[in-house]
Amino acid sequence: MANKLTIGGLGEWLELPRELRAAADPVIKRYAEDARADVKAAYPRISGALQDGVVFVETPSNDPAITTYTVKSTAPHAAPYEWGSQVHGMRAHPTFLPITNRARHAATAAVIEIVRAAGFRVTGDTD
Amino acid sequence: MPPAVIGDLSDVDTLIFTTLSNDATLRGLCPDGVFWDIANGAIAFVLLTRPPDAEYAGALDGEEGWLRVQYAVKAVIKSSSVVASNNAAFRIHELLHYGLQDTTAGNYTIMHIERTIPIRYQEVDPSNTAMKWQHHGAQYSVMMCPSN
Repeated sequence: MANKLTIGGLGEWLELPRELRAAADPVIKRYAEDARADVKAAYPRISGALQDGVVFVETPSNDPAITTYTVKSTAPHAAPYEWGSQVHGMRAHPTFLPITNRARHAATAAVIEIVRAAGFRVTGDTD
Repeated sequence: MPPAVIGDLSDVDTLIFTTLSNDATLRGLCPDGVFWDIANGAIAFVLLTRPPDAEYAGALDGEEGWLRVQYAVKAVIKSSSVVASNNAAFRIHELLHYGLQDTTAGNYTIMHIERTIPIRYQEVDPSNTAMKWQHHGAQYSVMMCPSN
Protein backbone atom coordinates (compact mmCIF):
# COMPACT_ATOMS: atom_id res chain seq x y z
CA MET A 1 0.00 0.00 0.00
CA ALA A 2 1.36 3.43 -0.94
CA ASN A 3 2.40 5.61 1.99
CA LYS A 4 0.81 8.75 0.67
CA LEU A 5 -1.80 11.26 1.84
CA THR A 6 -3.28 13.76 -0.59
CA ILE A 7 -5.37 16.71 0.56
CA GLY A 8 -7.27 18.35 -2.24
CA GLY A 9 -9.09 21.64 -2.55
CA LEU A 10 -6.39 23.86 -1.07
CA GLY A 11 -6.13 25.83 -4.29
CA GLU A 12 -9.71 26.88 -3.82
CA TRP A 13 -8.96 28.06 -0.28
CA LEU A 14 -5.88 29.95 -1.38
CA GLU A 15 -7.89 31.76 -4.02
CA LEU A 16 -10.65 32.71 -1.59
CA PRO A 17 -8.99 35.87 -0.18
CA ARG A 18 -8.47 37.14 -3.74
CA GLU A 19 -12.06 36.47 -4.65
CA LEU A 20 -13.37 38.15 -1.52
CA ARG A 21 -11.11 41.12 -2.03
CA ALA A 22 -12.22 41.42 -5.64
CA ALA A 23 -15.82 41.48 -4.46
CA ALA A 24 -15.21 43.89 -1.58
CA ASP A 25 -12.82 46.28 -3.33
CA PRO A 26 -15.34 48.22 -5.44
CA VAL A 27 -17.73 48.41 -2.49
CA ILE A 28 -15.09 49.90 -0.19
CA LYS A 29 -13.91 52.23 -2.94
CA ARG A 30 -17.44 53.53 -3.49
CA TYR A 31 -17.93 54.28 0.22
CA ALA A 32 -14.58 56.08 0.35
CA GLU A 33 -15.36 58.13 -2.76
CA ASP A 34 -18.78 59.02 -1.38
CA ALA A 35 -17.21 60.03 1.94
CA ARG A 36 -14.80 62.31 0.13
CA ALA A 37 -17.65 63.94 -1.77
CA ASP A 38 -19.74 64.31 1.39
CA VAL A 39 -16.86 65.90 3.34
CA LYS A 40 -16.19 68.34 0.49
CA ALA A 41 -19.86 69.25 0.33
CA ALA A 42 -20.07 69.74 4.09
CA TYR A 43 -17.05 72.05 4.32
CA PRO A 44 -17.67 75.76 3.78
CA ARG A 45 -16.08 77.38 0.74
CA ILE A 46 -14.27 80.55 1.77
CA SER A 47 -10.72 80.36 0.45
CA GLY A 48 -11.46 76.92 -0.98
CA ALA A 49 -8.52 75.37 0.88
CA LEU A 50 -10.68 73.16 3.08
CA GLN A 51 -12.69 71.71 0.21
CA ASP A 52 -9.71 71.44 -2.12
CA GLY A 53 -7.70 69.73 0.62
CA VAL A 54 -9.95 66.67 0.74
CA VAL A 55 -8.11 63.95 -1.11
CA PHE A 56 -8.71 60.32 -1.92
CA VAL A 57 -5.77 57.95 -1.88
CA GLU A 58 -5.63 54.42 -3.24
CA THR A 59 -3.10 52.33 -1.37
CA PRO A 60 -2.16 49.18 -3.27
CA SER A 61 -1.35 46.09 -1.25
CA ASN A 62 0.34 42.86 -2.22
CA ASP A 63 -1.58 41.09 0.53
CA PRO A 64 -4.48 39.25 -1.15
CA ALA A 65 -6.73 39.94 1.84
CA ILE A 66 -6.18 43.70 2.15
CA THR A 67 -7.77 46.54 0.25
CA THR A 68 -7.28 50.13 1.41
CA TYR A 69 -8.68 53.49 0.36
CA THR A 70 -7.94 56.59 2.39
CA VAL A 71 -9.75 59.92 2.60
CA LYS A 72 -7.67 62.76 4.02
CA SER A 73 -8.32 66.36 4.86
CA THR A 74 -4.98 68.02 4.16
CA ALA A 75 -5.68 71.75 4.61
CA PRO A 76 -3.47 73.31 7.29
CA HIS A 77 -6.53 74.48 9.22
CA ALA A 78 -8.41 71.17 8.94
CA ALA A 79 -7.71 70.27 12.59
CA PRO A 80 -8.69 73.70 14.05
CA TYR A 81 -11.85 73.59 11.94
CA GLU A 82 -12.72 70.11 13.19
CA TRP A 83 -11.82 70.68 16.84
CA GLY A 84 -11.89 74.45 17.32
CA SER A 85 -9.53 77.39 17.16
CA GLN A 86 -8.62 79.42 20.22
CA VAL A 87 -6.81 81.99 18.09
CA HIS A 88 -9.89 82.70 15.99
CA GLY A 89 -12.44 82.14 18.77
CA MET A 90 -13.99 79.44 16.62
CA ARG A 91 -15.85 76.49 18.07
CA ALA A 92 -15.37 72.97 16.77
CA HIS A 93 -17.13 71.93 13.58
CA PRO A 94 -17.17 68.12 13.68
CA THR A 95 -17.38 67.34 9.98
CA PHE A 96 -14.70 65.04 8.64
CA LEU A 97 -14.78 62.50 11.46
CA PRO A 98 -18.55 61.96 11.71
CA ILE A 99 -18.84 61.56 7.92
CA THR A 100 -15.88 59.23 7.52
CA ASN A 101 -16.89 57.28 10.61
CA ARG A 102 -20.34 56.64 9.18
CA ALA A 103 -18.79 55.61 5.86
CA ARG A 104 -16.37 53.25 7.59
CA HIS A 105 -19.18 51.58 9.54
CA ALA A 106 -21.36 51.27 6.43
CA ALA A 107 -18.46 49.84 4.38
CA THR A 108 -17.68 47.34 7.13
CA ALA A 109 -21.31 46.22 7.23
CA ALA A 110 -21.32 45.80 3.45
CA VAL A 111 -18.12 43.75 3.51
CA ILE A 112 -19.54 41.57 6.25
CA GLU A 113 -22.48 40.76 3.98
CA ILE A 114 -20.06 39.83 1.18
CA VAL A 115 -18.16 37.50 3.50
CA ARG A 116 -21.39 35.98 4.78
CA ALA A 117 -22.59 35.46 1.22
CA ALA A 118 -19.41 33.44 0.65
CA GLY A 119 -20.56 31.08 3.38
CA PHE A 120 -18.69 32.36 6.41
CA ARG A 121 -19.97 33.27 9.84
CA VAL A 122 -18.90 36.72 11.00
CA THR A 123 -18.68 37.60 14.69
CA GLY A 124 -16.96 40.21 16.82
CA ASP A 125 -16.70 43.95 17.17
CA THR A 126 -16.87 45.73 13.84
CA ASP A 127 -15.18 48.96 15.04
CA MET B 1 -37.30 53.62 13.02
CA PRO B 2 -34.98 54.72 15.84
CA PRO B 3 -35.60 53.25 19.28
CA ALA B 4 -37.42 55.26 21.92
CA VAL B 5 -35.05 57.50 23.87
CA ILE B 6 -35.01 56.63 27.53
CA GLY B 7 -32.55 59.13 28.97
CA ASP B 8 -31.14 62.62 28.78
CA LEU B 9 -27.67 62.83 27.27
CA SER B 10 -27.00 66.00 29.22
CA ASP B 11 -26.71 63.77 32.31
CA VAL B 12 -23.77 62.03 30.65
CA ASP B 13 -22.37 65.41 29.59
CA THR B 14 -22.48 66.46 33.25
CA LEU B 15 -20.79 63.26 34.39
CA ILE B 16 -17.89 63.76 31.98
CA PHE B 17 -17.67 67.45 32.84
CA THR B 18 -17.62 66.94 36.60
CA THR B 19 -15.16 64.06 36.36
CA LEU B 20 -12.72 66.38 34.64
CA SER B 21 -13.56 69.44 36.75
CA ASN B 22 -13.17 67.69 40.09
CA ASP B 23 -9.75 66.25 39.41
CA ALA B 24 -7.08 68.16 41.30
CA THR B 25 -4.22 67.03 39.05
CA LEU B 26 -5.99 68.21 35.91
CA ARG B 27 -7.00 71.46 37.59
CA GLY B 28 -3.35 72.06 38.46
CA LEU B 29 -2.41 71.70 34.80
CA CYS B 30 -5.42 73.58 33.42
CA PRO B 31 -6.29 76.08 36.16
CA ASP B 32 -8.85 78.05 34.13
CA GLY B 33 -11.23 75.10 34.31
CA VAL B 34 -13.34 72.99 31.99
CA PHE B 35 -15.49 74.53 29.26
CA TRP B 36 -17.97 73.40 26.65
CA ASP B 37 -17.27 74.34 23.04
CA ILE B 38 -15.56 77.69 23.58
CA ALA B 39 -13.60 79.45 26.30
CA ASN B 40 -13.07 83.14 25.75
CA GLY B 41 -10.26 84.68 27.78
CA ALA B 42 -8.95 81.43 29.25
CA ILE B 43 -5.34 80.42 28.60
CA ALA B 44 -5.05 76.99 30.23
CA PHE B 45 -8.19 74.92 30.21
CA VAL B 46 -9.94 71.74 29.15
CA LEU B 47 -12.38 71.98 26.26
CA LEU B 48 -15.21 69.52 25.76
CA THR B 49 -17.16 69.05 22.53
CA ARG B 50 -19.81 66.49 21.72
CA PRO B 51 -20.43 66.01 17.99
CA PRO B 52 -24.17 65.92 17.37
CA ASP B 53 -24.51 62.49 15.83
CA ALA B 54 -24.80 59.30 17.85
CA GLU B 55 -25.06 55.60 17.16
CA TYR B 56 -27.70 53.52 18.82
CA ALA B 57 -29.35 50.16 18.77
CA GLY B 58 -32.80 49.19 19.83
CA ALA B 59 -33.71 46.59 22.39
CA LEU B 60 -36.49 44.06 21.89
CA ASP B 61 -39.04 46.30 23.59
CA GLY B 62 -38.40 49.13 21.13
CA GLU B 63 -36.43 51.25 23.57
CA GLU B 64 -32.75 52.04 23.36
CA GLY B 65 -30.57 48.99 23.88
CA TRP B 66 -27.37 50.94 23.86
CA LEU B 67 -26.14 54.32 22.74
CA ARG B 68 -22.69 55.46 21.68
CA VAL B 69 -21.61 59.07 21.49
CA GLN B 70 -18.27 60.76 20.94
CA TYR B 71 -16.65 63.39 23.12
CA ALA B 72 -13.69 65.43 21.98
CA VAL B 73 -11.72 66.28 25.11
CA LYS B 74 -8.57 68.36 24.86
CA ALA B 75 -6.32 70.53 26.95
CA VAL B 76 -5.79 73.96 25.41
CA ILE B 77 -2.81 75.81 26.81
CA LYS B 78 -1.15 79.01 25.66
CA SER B 79 2.50 78.05 25.76
CA SER B 80 5.43 77.57 23.46
CA SER B 81 6.15 74.35 25.36
CA VAL B 82 4.21 71.14 24.88
CA VAL B 83 5.00 69.77 28.33
CA ALA B 84 1.92 70.98 30.20
CA SER B 85 -0.51 70.05 27.42
CA ASN B 86 1.10 66.61 27.13
CA ASN B 87 0.69 66.09 30.85
CA ALA B 88 -2.89 67.32 30.81
CA ALA B 89 -3.79 65.05 27.90
CA PHE B 90 -2.25 62.14 29.76
CA ARG B 91 -4.32 62.95 32.83
CA ILE B 92 -7.50 63.21 30.72
CA HIS B 93 -6.63 59.81 29.34
CA GLU B 94 -6.15 58.35 32.82
CA LEU B 95 -9.54 59.67 33.88
CA LEU B 96 -11.57 58.65 30.84
CA HIS B 97 -9.99 55.74 28.96
CA TYR B 98 -11.64 52.59 30.31
CA GLY B 99 -12.90 54.81 33.14
CA LEU B 100 -16.31 55.45 34.74
CA GLN B 101 -17.43 51.92 33.97
CA ASP B 102 -20.82 51.12 35.58
CA THR B 103 -21.23 54.73 36.67
CA THR B 104 -24.83 55.93 36.45
CA ALA B 105 -25.74 59.25 34.83
CA GLY B 106 -29.49 59.85 34.96
CA ASN B 107 -31.16 56.96 33.16
CA TYR B 108 -27.90 55.81 31.57
CA THR B 109 -25.12 53.58 32.85
CA ILE B 110 -21.65 53.85 31.32
CA MET B 111 -20.63 50.55 29.73
CA HIS B 112 -17.36 51.49 28.12
CA ILE B 113 -15.19 54.50 27.31
CA GLU B 114 -12.19 54.38 25.04
CA ARG B 115 -9.97 56.72 23.13
CA THR B 116 -10.64 56.49 19.42
CA ILE B 117 -8.71 59.35 17.83
CA PRO B 118 -5.85 61.37 19.29
CA ILE B 119 -6.00 65.16 18.94
CA ARG B 120 -2.78 67.09 18.63
CA TYR B 121 -2.18 70.41 16.90
CA GLN B 122 -0.95 73.87 17.67
CA GLU B 123 -1.83 77.37 16.59
CA VAL B 124 0.38 80.43 16.40
CA ASP B 125 -0.80 83.32 18.56
CA PRO B 126 -1.41 86.28 16.23
CA SER B 127 -0.30 88.84 18.83
CA ASN B 128 3.02 87.11 19.41
CA THR B 129 4.12 84.68 16.75
CA ALA B 130 6.68 83.14 19.12
CA MET B 131 3.80 82.04 21.32
CA LYS B 132 1.69 78.98 20.54
CA TRP B 133 -1.62 77.51 21.59
CA GLN B 134 -1.23 73.81 22.29
CA HIS B 135 -4.26 71.58 21.67
CA HIS B 136 -3.77 68.10 23.04
CA GLY B 137 -6.27 65.38 23.91
CA ALA B 138 -8.39 62.81 22.17
CA GLN B 139 -11.80 61.87 20.96
CA TYR B 140 -13.42 59.34 23.28
CA SER B 141 -16.19 56.94 22.42
CA VAL B 142 -18.67 56.56 25.27
CA MET B 143 -21.00 53.59 25.17
CA MET B 144 -23.94 53.46 27.54
CA CYS B 145 -27.08 51.48 28.20
CA PRO B 146 -30.32 52.16 30.09
CA SER B 147 -29.88 51.94 33.85
CA ASN B 148 -33.02 49.91 34.36
